[in-house]
Amino acid sequence: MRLLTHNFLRSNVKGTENGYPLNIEVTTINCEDSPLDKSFLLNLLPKVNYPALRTAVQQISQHCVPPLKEIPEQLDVSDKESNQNLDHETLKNLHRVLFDVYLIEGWLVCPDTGRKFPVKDGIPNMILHEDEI
Amino acid sequence: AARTSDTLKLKPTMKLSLVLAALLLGNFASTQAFSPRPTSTSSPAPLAASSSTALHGIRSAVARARDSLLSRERTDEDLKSGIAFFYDRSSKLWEDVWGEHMHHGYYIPEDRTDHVQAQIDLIDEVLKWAGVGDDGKTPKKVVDVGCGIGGSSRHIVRKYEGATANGITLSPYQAQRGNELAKEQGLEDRASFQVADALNQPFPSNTFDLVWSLESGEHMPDKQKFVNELLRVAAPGGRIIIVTWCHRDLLPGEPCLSTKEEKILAKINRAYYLPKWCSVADYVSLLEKAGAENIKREDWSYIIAPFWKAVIKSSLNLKSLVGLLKSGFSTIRGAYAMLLMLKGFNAGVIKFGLITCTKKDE
Repeated sequence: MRLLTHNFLRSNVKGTENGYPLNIEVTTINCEDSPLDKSFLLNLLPKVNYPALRTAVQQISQHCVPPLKEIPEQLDVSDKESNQNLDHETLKNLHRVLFDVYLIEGWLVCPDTGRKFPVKDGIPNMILHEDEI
Repeated sequence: AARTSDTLKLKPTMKLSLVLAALLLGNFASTQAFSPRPTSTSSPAPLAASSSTALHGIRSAVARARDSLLSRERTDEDLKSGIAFFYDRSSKLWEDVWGEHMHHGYYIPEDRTDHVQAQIDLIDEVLKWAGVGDDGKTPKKVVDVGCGIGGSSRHIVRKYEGATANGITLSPYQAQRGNELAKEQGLEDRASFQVADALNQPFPSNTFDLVWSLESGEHMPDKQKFVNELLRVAAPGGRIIIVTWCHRDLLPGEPCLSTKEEKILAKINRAYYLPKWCSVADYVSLLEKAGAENIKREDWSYIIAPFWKAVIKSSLNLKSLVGLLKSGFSTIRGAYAMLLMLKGFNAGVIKFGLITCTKKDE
Protein backbone atom coordinates (compact mmCIF):
# COMPACT_ATOMS: atom_id res chain seq x y z
CA MET A 1 0.00 0.00 0.00
CA ARG A 2 1.49 3.32 -1.03
CA LEU A 3 0.92 6.63 0.69
CA LEU A 4 -1.12 7.69 -2.33
CA THR A 5 -3.66 5.01 -1.43
CA HIS A 6 -3.43 5.77 2.28
CA ASN A 7 -4.33 9.38 1.46
CA PHE A 8 -7.80 8.28 0.33
CA LEU A 9 -8.63 5.78 3.07
CA ARG A 10 -10.62 6.42 6.20
CA SER A 11 -12.30 4.43 8.93
CA ASN A 12 -16.06 4.20 8.52
CA VAL A 13 -16.84 2.34 11.71
CA LYS A 14 -20.29 3.30 12.99
CA GLY A 15 -20.08 6.26 15.31
CA THR A 16 -16.65 7.39 14.14
CA GLU A 17 -16.57 11.14 13.83
CA ASN A 18 -13.85 11.63 11.34
CA GLY A 19 -11.79 8.48 10.95
CA TYR A 20 -9.25 10.36 8.88
CA PRO A 21 -6.36 10.38 8.37
CA LEU A 22 -5.44 6.90 9.57
CA ASN A 23 -2.28 6.63 11.62
CA ILE A 24 0.30 4.20 10.27
CA GLU A 25 2.07 1.51 12.30
CA VAL A 26 4.87 -0.03 10.30
CA THR A 27 5.95 -3.64 10.57
CA THR A 28 7.56 -4.04 7.15
CA ILE A 29 8.16 -1.36 4.58
CA ASN A 30 9.72 -1.44 1.11
CA CYS A 31 11.13 1.38 -0.89
CA GLU A 32 11.49 1.24 -4.63
CA ASP A 33 12.73 3.65 -7.24
CA SER A 34 10.49 4.77 -10.02
CA PRO A 35 11.00 7.63 -12.47
CA LEU A 36 9.20 10.89 -11.91
CA ASP A 37 6.33 11.53 -14.30
CA LYS A 38 6.03 15.28 -13.85
CA SER A 39 2.79 15.91 -15.69
CA PHE A 40 1.07 12.96 -14.01
CA LEU A 41 2.18 14.17 -10.59
CA LEU A 42 1.02 17.72 -11.27
CA ASN A 43 -2.33 16.35 -12.43
CA LEU A 44 -2.67 14.35 -9.26
CA LEU A 45 -1.50 16.87 -6.64
CA PRO A 46 -4.73 18.91 -6.42
CA LYS A 47 -6.55 15.71 -5.39
CA VAL A 48 -4.13 14.92 -2.56
CA ASN A 49 -4.85 15.86 1.04
CA TYR A 50 -1.48 17.41 1.80
CA PRO A 51 -1.54 17.64 5.64
CA ALA A 52 -2.53 13.96 5.77
CA LEU A 53 0.34 13.09 3.43
CA ARG A 54 2.84 15.02 5.54
CA THR A 55 1.71 13.34 8.77
CA ALA A 56 1.97 9.94 7.11
CA VAL A 57 5.49 10.67 5.92
CA GLN A 58 6.51 11.65 9.44
CA GLN A 59 5.09 8.42 10.82
CA ILE A 60 6.94 6.11 8.46
CA SER A 61 10.11 8.01 7.59
CA GLN A 62 12.26 6.43 10.29
CA HIS A 63 11.50 2.94 8.93
CA CYS A 64 12.73 3.73 5.44
CA VAL A 65 16.20 2.99 4.26
CA PRO A 66 17.44 5.46 3.21
CA PRO A 67 15.27 7.79 5.30
CA LEU A 68 12.74 9.81 3.32
CA LYS A 69 13.72 13.31 2.36
CA GLU A 70 11.67 16.11 3.85
CA ILE A 71 8.71 17.47 1.96
CA PRO A 72 7.59 21.07 2.53
CA GLU A 73 5.83 21.71 5.82
CA GLN A 74 2.94 23.41 4.12
CA LEU A 75 1.77 23.28 0.54
CA ASP A 76 -1.41 24.46 -1.08
CA VAL A 77 -1.71 21.69 -3.65
CA SER A 78 -5.02 22.97 -4.97
CA ASP A 79 -3.17 25.90 -6.53
CA LYS A 80 -2.26 24.42 -9.90
CA GLU A 81 -0.16 27.42 -10.84
CA SER A 82 2.08 27.30 -7.82
CA ASN A 83 2.39 23.52 -8.27
CA GLN A 84 3.89 24.21 -11.69
CA ASN A 85 6.51 26.38 -10.04
CA LEU A 86 7.68 23.76 -7.56
CA ASP A 87 11.37 22.98 -7.94
CA HIS A 88 12.51 19.65 -9.32
CA GLU A 89 13.92 18.45 -5.99
CA THR A 90 10.58 18.97 -4.23
CA LEU A 91 8.71 17.22 -7.02
CA LYS A 92 11.09 14.26 -6.80
CA ASN A 93 10.55 14.02 -3.04
CA LEU A 94 6.79 14.25 -3.44
CA HIS A 95 6.87 11.58 -6.10
CA ARG A 96 8.95 9.33 -3.86
CA VAL A 97 6.65 9.56 -0.87
CA LEU A 98 3.50 9.13 -2.92
CA PHE A 99 4.59 6.31 -5.22
CA ASP A 100 7.78 4.61 -4.12
CA VAL A 101 7.14 3.67 -0.51
CA TYR A 102 5.14 0.49 0.12
CA LEU A 103 3.73 -0.56 3.45
CA ILE A 104 3.86 -4.36 3.20
CA GLU A 105 2.86 -5.32 6.74
CA GLY A 106 1.46 -3.08 9.40
CA TRP A 107 -1.64 -1.38 10.69
CA LEU A 108 -3.81 1.59 9.83
CA VAL A 109 -5.16 3.06 13.06
CA CYS A 110 -8.26 5.20 13.37
CA PRO A 111 -7.39 8.54 15.02
CA ASP A 112 -10.78 8.67 16.78
CA THR A 113 -11.38 5.17 18.07
CA GLY A 114 -8.00 3.44 17.78
CA ARG A 115 -9.54 0.67 15.65
CA LYS A 116 -6.74 -1.09 13.76
CA PHE A 117 -7.09 -2.18 10.14
CA PRO A 118 -4.52 -4.77 9.11
CA VAL A 119 -2.24 -4.38 6.10
CA LYS A 120 -1.05 -7.77 4.80
CA ASP A 121 1.01 -8.35 1.66
CA GLY A 122 0.64 -4.69 0.92
CA ILE A 123 -3.15 -4.81 0.93
CA PRO A 124 -5.20 -2.99 3.55
CA ASN A 125 -8.27 -4.87 4.75
CA MET A 126 -10.95 -2.32 5.52
CA ILE A 127 -13.81 -4.73 6.11
CA LEU A 128 -15.75 -3.96 9.27
CA HIS A 129 -16.84 -6.41 11.96
CA GLU A 130 -20.55 -7.04 12.40
CA ASP A 131 -20.81 -4.77 15.43
CA GLU A 132 -19.12 -1.84 13.70
CA ILE A 133 -21.65 -1.37 10.94
CA ALA B 1 -34.40 -1.16 -31.23
CA ALA B 2 -34.54 -4.36 -29.20
CA ARG B 3 -34.69 -7.61 -31.09
CA THR B 4 -37.86 -9.59 -30.56
CA SER B 5 -36.44 -13.07 -31.12
CA ASP B 6 -33.62 -13.02 -28.66
CA THR B 7 -33.79 -16.40 -27.04
CA LEU B 8 -30.66 -18.42 -26.95
CA LYS B 9 -30.99 -22.16 -27.21
CA LEU B 10 -28.29 -24.68 -26.39
CA LYS B 11 -28.22 -27.82 -28.51
CA PRO B 12 -29.75 -30.64 -26.41
CA THR B 13 -26.55 -32.70 -26.60
CA MET B 14 -24.45 -29.81 -25.37
CA LYS B 15 -26.86 -29.26 -22.51
CA LEU B 16 -26.83 -32.92 -21.56
CA SER B 17 -23.05 -33.21 -21.61
CA LEU B 18 -22.67 -30.13 -19.45
CA VAL B 19 -25.16 -31.42 -16.89
CA LEU B 20 -23.43 -34.81 -16.83
CA ALA B 21 -20.02 -33.20 -16.48
CA ALA B 22 -21.24 -31.04 -13.63
CA LEU B 23 -22.89 -33.94 -11.81
CA LEU B 24 -19.85 -36.17 -12.26
CA LEU B 25 -17.44 -33.54 -11.06
CA GLY B 26 -19.81 -32.49 -8.31
CA ASN B 27 -19.93 -36.04 -6.96
CA PHE B 28 -16.18 -36.44 -7.20
CA ALA B 29 -15.51 -33.20 -5.43
CA SER B 30 -18.32 -33.56 -2.90
CA THR B 31 -15.94 -33.61 0.05
CA GLN B 32 -15.19 -29.98 -0.72
CA ALA B 33 -18.85 -29.07 -0.31
CA PHE B 34 -18.76 -28.83 3.45
CA SER B 35 -15.82 -26.59 4.17
CA PRO B 36 -16.06 -23.00 3.01
CA ARG B 37 -13.09 -21.31 4.61
CA PRO B 38 -13.78 -17.87 5.98
CA THR B 39 -11.20 -15.57 4.46
CA SER B 40 -11.80 -12.55 6.65
CA THR B 41 -8.49 -11.75 8.32
CA SER B 42 -10.03 -9.85 11.17
CA SER B 43 -11.31 -12.78 13.25
CA PRO B 44 -8.96 -15.45 14.58
CA ALA B 45 -9.51 -19.02 13.37
CA PRO B 46 -11.21 -21.20 16.00
CA LEU B 47 -8.97 -23.77 17.69
CA ALA B 48 -9.40 -27.31 16.41
CA ALA B 49 -11.44 -30.30 17.48
CA SER B 50 -12.91 -31.45 20.61
CA SER B 51 -15.56 -34.09 19.97
CA SER B 52 -18.29 -31.47 20.50
CA THR B 53 -16.66 -29.19 17.91
CA ALA B 54 -16.57 -32.10 15.47
CA LEU B 55 -20.27 -32.79 16.07
CA HIS B 56 -21.03 -29.10 15.57
CA GLY B 57 -19.02 -29.22 12.36
CA ILE B 58 -21.08 -32.13 11.04
CA ARG B 59 -24.36 -30.50 12.06
CA SER B 60 -23.50 -27.22 10.33
CA ALA B 61 -22.32 -29.07 7.23
CA VAL B 62 -25.63 -30.94 7.05
CA ALA B 63 -27.51 -27.68 7.58
CA ARG B 64 -25.61 -26.06 4.72
CA ALA B 65 -26.32 -28.98 2.40
CA ARG B 66 -30.01 -28.86 3.33
CA ASP B 67 -30.13 -25.10 2.70
CA SER B 68 -28.45 -25.60 -0.65
CA LEU B 69 -30.91 -28.28 -1.72
CA LEU B 70 -33.83 -26.10 -0.68
CA SER B 71 -32.25 -23.05 -2.35
CA ARG B 72 -32.61 -21.13 0.91
CA GLU B 73 -31.72 -17.47 0.90
CA ARG B 74 -28.32 -16.75 2.44
CA THR B 75 -27.85 -14.50 5.44
CA ASP B 76 -25.86 -11.29 4.96
CA GLU B 77 -23.04 -12.72 7.05
CA ASP B 78 -22.95 -15.89 4.98
CA LEU B 79 -23.01 -13.80 1.81
CA LYS B 80 -20.06 -11.66 2.78
CA SER B 81 -17.75 -14.49 3.75
CA GLY B 82 -19.19 -16.67 0.99
CA ILE B 83 -18.51 -14.09 -1.71
CA ALA B 84 -14.91 -13.71 -0.57
CA PHE B 85 -14.56 -17.52 -0.46
CA PHE B 86 -16.21 -18.06 -3.83
CA TYR B 87 -14.02 -15.49 -5.61
CA ASP B 88 -10.86 -16.54 -3.80
CA ARG B 89 -11.54 -20.02 -5.15
CA SER B 90 -12.86 -19.21 -8.62
CA SER B 91 -10.95 -16.17 -9.84
CA LYS B 92 -7.86 -18.06 -10.95
CA LEU B 93 -9.79 -20.46 -13.17
CA TRP B 94 -11.79 -17.61 -14.68
CA GLU B 95 -8.61 -15.67 -15.39
CA ASP B 96 -6.92 -18.71 -16.95
CA VAL B 97 -9.80 -19.28 -19.35
CA TRP B 98 -11.15 -15.75 -19.87
CA GLY B 99 -8.50 -13.27 -18.79
CA GLU B 100 -8.64 -10.24 -16.56
CA HIS B 101 -12.21 -9.09 -17.23
CA MET B 102 -14.88 -10.75 -15.13
CA HIS B 103 -17.94 -9.39 -16.88
CA HIS B 104 -20.14 -9.82 -19.96
CA GLY B 105 -19.05 -8.99 -23.47
CA TYR B 106 -20.62 -6.62 -25.98
CA TYR B 107 -21.93 -8.83 -28.75
CA ILE B 108 -22.41 -6.52 -31.65
CA PRO B 109 -22.04 -8.19 -34.11
CA GLU B 110 -23.95 -11.02 -32.45
CA ASP B 111 -21.71 -13.79 -33.75
CA ARG B 112 -18.36 -12.27 -32.83
CA THR B 113 -15.94 -14.74 -31.31
CA ASP B 114 -13.26 -12.38 -30.01
CA HIS B 115 -14.63 -12.68 -26.51
CA VAL B 116 -11.94 -10.79 -24.64
CA GLN B 117 -12.23 -7.86 -27.00
CA ALA B 118 -16.01 -8.04 -26.54
CA GLN B 119 -15.48 -7.63 -22.81
CA ILE B 120 -13.22 -4.63 -23.35
CA ASP B 121 -15.73 -3.15 -25.80
CA LEU B 122 -18.43 -3.46 -23.17
CA ILE B 123 -16.54 -1.07 -20.88
CA ASP B 124 -16.04 1.43 -23.70
CA GLU B 125 -19.64 1.20 -24.89
CA VAL B 126 -20.97 1.69 -21.36
CA LEU B 127 -18.78 4.77 -20.87
CA LYS B 128 -19.97 6.10 -24.21
CA TRP B 129 -23.63 5.42 -23.37
CA ALA B 130 -23.22 7.19 -20.03
CA GLY B 131 -21.76 10.21 -21.78
CA VAL B 132 -18.41 10.15 -19.99
CA GLY B 133 -16.15 12.72 -21.58
CA ASP B 134 -18.93 14.23 -23.70
CA ASP B 135 -18.45 17.61 -22.04
CA GLY B 136 -14.72 17.54 -22.70
CA LYS B 137 -13.90 16.57 -19.10
CA THR B 138 -12.57 13.09 -18.44
CA PRO B 139 -12.58 11.48 -15.00
CA LYS B 140 -9.50 11.90 -12.83
CA LYS B 141 -10.42 9.91 -9.75
CA VAL B 142 -12.27 6.68 -10.26
CA VAL B 143 -13.57 4.13 -7.79
CA ASP B 144 -14.26 0.61 -9.02
CA VAL B 145 -16.83 -0.90 -6.66
CA GLY B 146 -16.63 -4.69 -6.74
CA CYS B 147 -13.55 -4.58 -8.90
CA GLY B 148 -12.82 -8.27 -9.47
CA ILE B 149 -9.15 -8.54 -10.42
CA GLY B 150 -9.23 -4.98 -11.64
CA GLY B 151 -9.75 -5.30 -15.39
CA SER B 152 -12.07 -2.29 -15.59
CA SER B 153 -9.87 -0.09 -13.41
CA ARG B 154 -6.79 -0.75 -15.48
CA HIS B 155 -8.62 -0.22 -18.75
CA ILE B 156 -10.16 3.05 -17.55
CA VAL B 157 -6.91 4.57 -16.32
CA ARG B 158 -5.28 3.63 -19.61
CA LYS B 159 -8.17 5.26 -21.46
CA TYR B 160 -8.22 8.58 -19.62
CA GLU B 161 -5.03 10.54 -19.24
CA GLY B 162 -4.13 11.45 -15.70
CA ALA B 163 -6.79 9.21 -14.17
CA THR B 164 -6.23 7.08 -11.06
CA ALA B 165 -8.46 4.30 -9.82
CA ASN B 166 -9.12 2.65 -6.47
CA GLY B 167 -10.79 -0.75 -6.62
CA ILE B 168 -12.49 -2.52 -3.74
CA THR B 169 -13.36 -6.19 -3.39
CA LEU B 170 -14.26 -8.56 -0.56
CA SER B 171 -11.78 -11.11 -1.89
CA PRO B 172 -8.18 -10.84 -0.69
CA TYR B 173 -7.08 -13.01 -3.60
CA GLN B 174 -8.64 -10.62 -6.08
CA ALA B 175 -7.08 -7.53 -4.49
CA GLN B 176 -3.69 -9.22 -4.58
CA ARG B 177 -4.09 -10.30 -8.19
CA GLY B 178 -5.36 -6.84 -9.13
CA ASN B 179 -2.24 -5.20 -7.74
CA GLU B 180 0.00 -7.79 -9.39
CA LEU B 181 -1.57 -7.23 -12.79
CA ALA B 182 -1.33 -3.46 -12.33
CA LYS B 183 2.37 -3.84 -11.67
CA GLU B 184 2.82 -6.18 -14.68
CA GLN B 185 1.09 -3.66 -16.89
CA GLY B 186 3.08 -0.71 -15.59
CA LEU B 187 -0.04 0.78 -14.01
CA GLU B 188 0.73 0.41 -10.33
CA ASP B 189 0.85 4.17 -9.91
CA ARG B 190 -2.55 4.52 -11.48
CA ALA B 191 -4.63 1.64 -10.13
CA SER B 192 -4.62 0.13 -6.66
CA PHE B 193 -6.86 -2.41 -5.02
CA GLN B 194 -8.02 -2.89 -1.46
CA VAL B 195 -10.14 -5.33 0.48
CA ALA B 196 -13.25 -3.45 1.55
CA ASP B 197 -17.01 -3.63 1.71
CA ALA B 198 -19.03 -1.74 -0.91
CA LEU B 199 -21.72 -1.15 1.70
CA ASN B 200 -19.19 0.63 3.91
CA GLN B 201 -16.66 2.17 1.60
CA PRO B 202 -13.46 3.28 3.34
CA PHE B 203 -13.31 6.57 1.48
CA PRO B 204 -14.16 10.11 2.49
CA SER B 205 -17.35 11.57 1.00
CA ASN B 206 -17.23 13.60 -2.21
CA THR B 207 -14.06 11.96 -3.50
CA PHE B 208 -14.54 10.38 -6.92
CA ASP B 209 -15.62 11.93 -10.20
CA LEU B 210 -16.47 8.52 -11.60
CA VAL B 211 -18.10 5.83 -9.47
CA TRP B 212 -18.07 2.58 -11.44
CA SER B 213 -19.91 -0.62 -10.56
CA LEU B 214 -19.81 -3.23 -13.30
CA GLU B 215 -21.63 -6.45 -12.44
CA SER B 216 -21.14 -6.19 -8.72
CA GLY B 217 -24.50 -4.74 -7.68
CA GLU B 218 -25.94 -8.26 -7.82
CA HIS B 219 -24.00 -9.16 -4.67
CA MET B 220 -25.22 -6.27 -2.53
CA PRO B 221 -27.74 -7.45 0.07
CA ASP B 222 -28.92 -3.93 0.87
CA LYS B 223 -29.53 -2.08 -2.39
CA GLN B 224 -30.47 1.14 -0.62
CA LYS B 225 -27.22 1.18 1.33
CA PHE B 226 -25.29 0.29 -1.80
CA VAL B 227 -26.81 3.19 -3.72
CA ASN B 228 -26.31 5.59 -0.81
CA GLU B 229 -22.62 4.70 -0.55
CA LEU B 230 -22.15 5.16 -4.31
CA LEU B 231 -23.62 8.63 -4.02
CA ARG B 232 -21.74 9.48 -0.85
CA VAL B 233 -18.28 8.85 -2.28
CA ALA B 234 -19.10 10.57 -5.58
CA ALA B 235 -17.77 14.11 -5.96
CA PRO B 236 -20.37 16.86 -6.48
CA GLY B 237 -21.22 16.77 -10.18
CA GLY B 238 -19.57 13.38 -10.42
CA ARG B 239 -21.01 10.48 -12.41
CA ILE B 240 -22.21 7.10 -11.18
CA ILE B 241 -22.52 4.12 -13.50
CA ILE B 242 -24.16 0.87 -12.42
CA VAL B 243 -24.24 -2.12 -14.76
CA THR B 244 -25.92 -5.07 -13.17
CA TRP B 245 -28.12 -8.14 -13.48
CA CYS B 246 -31.69 -7.39 -12.46
CA HIS B 247 -34.99 -9.15 -12.73
CA ARG B 248 -37.57 -7.76 -15.15
CA ASP B 249 -39.57 -4.71 -14.10
CA LEU B 250 -42.80 -5.68 -12.43
CA LEU B 251 -45.93 -4.76 -14.34
CA PRO B 252 -48.24 -2.18 -12.76
CA GLY B 253 -50.24 -3.95 -10.09
CA GLU B 254 -47.92 -6.96 -10.04
CA PRO B 255 -46.75 -7.47 -6.43
CA CYS B 256 -43.86 -9.86 -7.22
CA LEU B 257 -42.39 -12.29 -9.73
CA SER B 258 -44.10 -15.64 -10.40
CA THR B 259 -43.14 -18.67 -8.30
CA LYS B 260 -41.46 -20.25 -11.31
CA GLU B 261 -39.38 -17.11 -11.87
CA GLU B 262 -38.46 -16.89 -8.18
CA LYS B 263 -37.34 -20.54 -8.26
CA ILE B 264 -34.83 -19.95 -11.07
CA LEU B 265 -33.37 -16.97 -9.24
CA ALA B 266 -33.23 -18.76 -5.89
CA LYS B 267 -31.12 -21.56 -7.38
CA ILE B 268 -28.76 -19.06 -9.04
CA ASN B 269 -28.47 -17.18 -5.76
CA ARG B 270 -27.20 -20.22 -3.88
CA ALA B 271 -24.54 -20.85 -6.53
CA TYR B 272 -23.34 -17.28 -6.96
CA TYR B 273 -23.76 -16.01 -3.40
CA LEU B 274 -26.39 -13.49 -4.41
CA PRO B 275 -29.06 -11.86 -2.29
CA LYS B 276 -32.60 -11.19 -3.49
CA TRP B 277 -32.74 -9.53 -6.90
CA CYS B 278 -34.32 -6.21 -7.68
CA SER B 279 -35.36 -4.60 -10.96
CA VAL B 280 -33.85 -1.69 -12.87
CA ALA B 281 -36.97 0.28 -11.91
CA ASP B 282 -36.11 -0.38 -8.25
CA TYR B 283 -32.62 1.05 -8.76
CA VAL B 284 -34.07 4.13 -10.41
CA SER B 285 -36.40 4.82 -7.49
CA LEU B 286 -33.62 4.19 -4.95
CA LEU B 287 -31.43 6.69 -6.77
CA GLU B 288 -34.26 9.19 -6.94
CA LYS B 289 -34.84 8.76 -3.22
CA ALA B 290 -31.14 9.38 -2.57
CA GLY B 291 -31.18 12.64 -4.51
CA ALA B 292 -29.39 11.60 -7.68
CA GLU B 293 -29.88 13.69 -10.80
CA ASN B 294 -30.04 13.02 -14.56
CA ILE B 295 -30.96 9.38 -14.07
CA LYS B 296 -30.85 7.34 -17.27
CA ARG B 297 -31.53 3.61 -17.78
CA GLU B 298 -31.19 1.03 -20.52
CA ASP B 299 -31.68 -2.71 -21.12
CA TRP B 300 -28.79 -4.44 -22.89
CA SER B 301 -29.95 -8.02 -22.32
CA TYR B 302 -30.03 -8.75 -26.03
CA ILE B 303 -26.54 -7.28 -26.57
CA ILE B 304 -24.82 -9.48 -24.00
CA ALA B 305 -26.94 -12.61 -24.50
CA PRO B 306 -24.38 -14.51 -26.67
CA PHE B 307 -21.90 -14.29 -23.79
CA TRP B 308 -23.35 -17.19 -21.73
CA LYS B 309 -23.30 -19.59 -24.63
CA ALA B 310 -19.67 -18.62 -25.19
CA VAL B 311 -18.82 -19.16 -21.54
CA ILE B 312 -20.49 -22.56 -21.49
CA LYS B 313 -18.71 -23.58 -24.69
CA SER B 314 -15.39 -22.47 -23.18
CA SER B 315 -15.93 -24.72 -20.19
CA LEU B 316 -16.33 -27.83 -22.35
CA ASN B 317 -12.67 -28.46 -23.02
CA LEU B 318 -10.17 -30.51 -21.04
CA LYS B 319 -8.18 -27.57 -19.66
CA SER B 320 -11.30 -25.88 -18.27
CA LEU B 321 -12.77 -29.09 -16.89
CA VAL B 322 -9.52 -29.94 -15.11
CA GLY B 323 -9.36 -26.39 -13.80
CA LEU B 324 -12.96 -26.68 -12.61
CA LEU B 325 -12.18 -29.91 -10.80
CA LYS B 326 -9.19 -28.31 -9.09
CA SER B 327 -11.15 -25.24 -8.02
CA GLY B 328 -13.60 -27.12 -5.88
CA PHE B 329 -17.31 -27.63 -5.44
CA SER B 330 -18.38 -24.00 -5.27
CA THR B 331 -16.76 -23.20 -8.58
CA ILE B 332 -18.28 -26.30 -10.17
CA ARG B 333 -21.66 -25.28 -8.88
CA GLY B 334 -21.02 -21.83 -10.33
CA ALA B 335 -20.34 -23.42 -13.71
CA TYR B 336 -23.58 -25.42 -13.51
CA ALA B 337 -25.48 -22.25 -12.64
CA MET B 338 -24.54 -20.84 -16.04
CA LEU B 339 -27.30 -23.04 -17.46
CA LEU B 340 -29.69 -21.41 -15.04
CA MET B 341 -28.57 -17.95 -16.12
CA LEU B 342 -29.27 -18.90 -19.72
CA LYS B 343 -32.69 -20.22 -18.69
CA GLY B 344 -33.39 -16.98 -16.86
CA PHE B 345 -32.49 -14.84 -19.85
CA ASN B 346 -34.59 -16.99 -22.17
CA ALA B 347 -37.53 -16.79 -19.80
CA GLY B 348 -37.29 -13.01 -19.80
CA VAL B 349 -36.85 -12.83 -16.04
CA ILE B 350 -33.15 -11.91 -16.03
CA LYS B 351 -32.15 -8.58 -17.51
CA PHE B 352 -28.81 -6.89 -18.00
CA GLY B 353 -29.46 -3.32 -16.92
CA LEU B 354 -27.53 -0.06 -17.17
CA ILE B 355 -28.23 2.88 -14.89
CA THR B 356 -26.35 6.16 -14.73
CA CYS B 357 -26.83 9.42 -12.87
CA THR B 358 -24.92 12.38 -11.49
CA LYS B 359 -24.48 13.74 -7.98
CA LYS B 360 -25.83 17.18 -7.37
CA ASP B 361 -23.20 19.80 -8.06
CA GLU B 362 -22.38 22.20 -5.25
